[in-house]
Amino acid sequence: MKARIMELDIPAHQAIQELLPWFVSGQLAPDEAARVAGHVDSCEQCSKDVAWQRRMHDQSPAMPAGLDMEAALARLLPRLEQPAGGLAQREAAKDLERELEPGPEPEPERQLAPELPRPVRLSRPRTPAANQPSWLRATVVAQFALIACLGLLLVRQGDAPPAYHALGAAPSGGNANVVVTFRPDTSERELRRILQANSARLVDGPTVTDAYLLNVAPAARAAALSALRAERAVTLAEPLDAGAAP
Amino acid sequence: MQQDGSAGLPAPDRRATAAQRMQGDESRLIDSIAVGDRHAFETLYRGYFPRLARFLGRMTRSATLIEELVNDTMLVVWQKAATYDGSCKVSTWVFAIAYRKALKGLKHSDEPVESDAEQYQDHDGPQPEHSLVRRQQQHAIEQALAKLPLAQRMVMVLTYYHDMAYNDIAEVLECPVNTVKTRMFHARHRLRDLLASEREESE
Repeated sequence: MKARIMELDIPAHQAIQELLPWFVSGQLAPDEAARVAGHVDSCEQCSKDVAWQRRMHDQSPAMPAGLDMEAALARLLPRLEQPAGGLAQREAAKDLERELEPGPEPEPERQLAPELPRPVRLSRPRTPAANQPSWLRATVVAQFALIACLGLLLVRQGDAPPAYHALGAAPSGGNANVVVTFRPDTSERELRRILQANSARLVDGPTVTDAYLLNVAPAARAAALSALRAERAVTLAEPLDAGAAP
Repeated sequence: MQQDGSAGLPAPDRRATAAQRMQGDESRLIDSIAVGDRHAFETLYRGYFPRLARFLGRMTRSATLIEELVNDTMLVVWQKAATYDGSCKVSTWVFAIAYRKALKGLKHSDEPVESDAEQYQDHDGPQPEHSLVRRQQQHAIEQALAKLPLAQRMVMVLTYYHDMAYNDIAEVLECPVNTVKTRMFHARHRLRDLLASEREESE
């Protein structure tokens, strides 16, 4: 046997020597274990070493004296609730649910849970948050909702009467309450005089029927209509109520 | 007898199958703990308390401190369960937390970073085959183990008493794999010398 030891490859023997403890404890990969086993069979020194290490390994370690596991656990349990606010309440609610509904834990309840100091479970840090499909989905949905809201606001704004009516802006006729027609030969000066005399403002016109839509103070509309009808240049003066066609 | 499909396998394969099953069970417990399952936490706690106590007991002789370190470790497990990504065994992850907690805790305490063979008790009680000679051998080993430098002692403890692979030990102790192998090599030769000299003294 000793002659066989002399034939051994020394670096390989040393490498095997380093692995012996894990060969004994059965913690080597199968190929490594097979290599070590092959060497041990042919090496007296390693074989003796394995026998000694087996004795060491088989000495079951004793437990340190004076320990009380249940007491230690009882001290730890309240600490599980301390760091995060609201944990106690949520846990209490969870316990209550368990009592009320024994059996498998429903999925929504499982999502309720961890309210610890621990890095929140919204996204498990196993993958970066930016790469979480659920995170992306939520963002896209929020984005679409925002766009829809903005679009709605835009449409509603378009329906509202303009606060400022520029000269070049399209006529709206929204606040006209009198419709008048003038003789075709009425001059601009005459028309302006009639409007000023009746405190009327031109809102729209001429329409396709050559009518003009005017706005007068509602309280003075009847008087304005009488005055307008009395004008020689005015061929028609009629009240215009909301929704009525000119 | 439980039919688990591994009954016909050779011993190392059976051991590997059992280890895989345990790893699967512990992974599921961690997943449950990550969603706040206190029952799962208590199950894991009771499973790990003796293991961590044996491990930490090789670093300090104070039972109070051991319990405190186990609790600090398991509190981190509760808080960080969601960050466990399965890239290592659950035991490797938990022991790594415990080792860091112990180094930090012992640094700030007056406790010596040593173990004491006198503090260990035999929970199994007297057994027919558990002879006086065997208890004496165990006591001698524990005394010799306590005399090893901390780094070597912890590698030896994790190898022999916790059946950890060298790469898992490297993760727990945060050192290269070759360092683990070298420490173990020196530790067992030193232990052999210590046991031999103790034997000579007793004779």
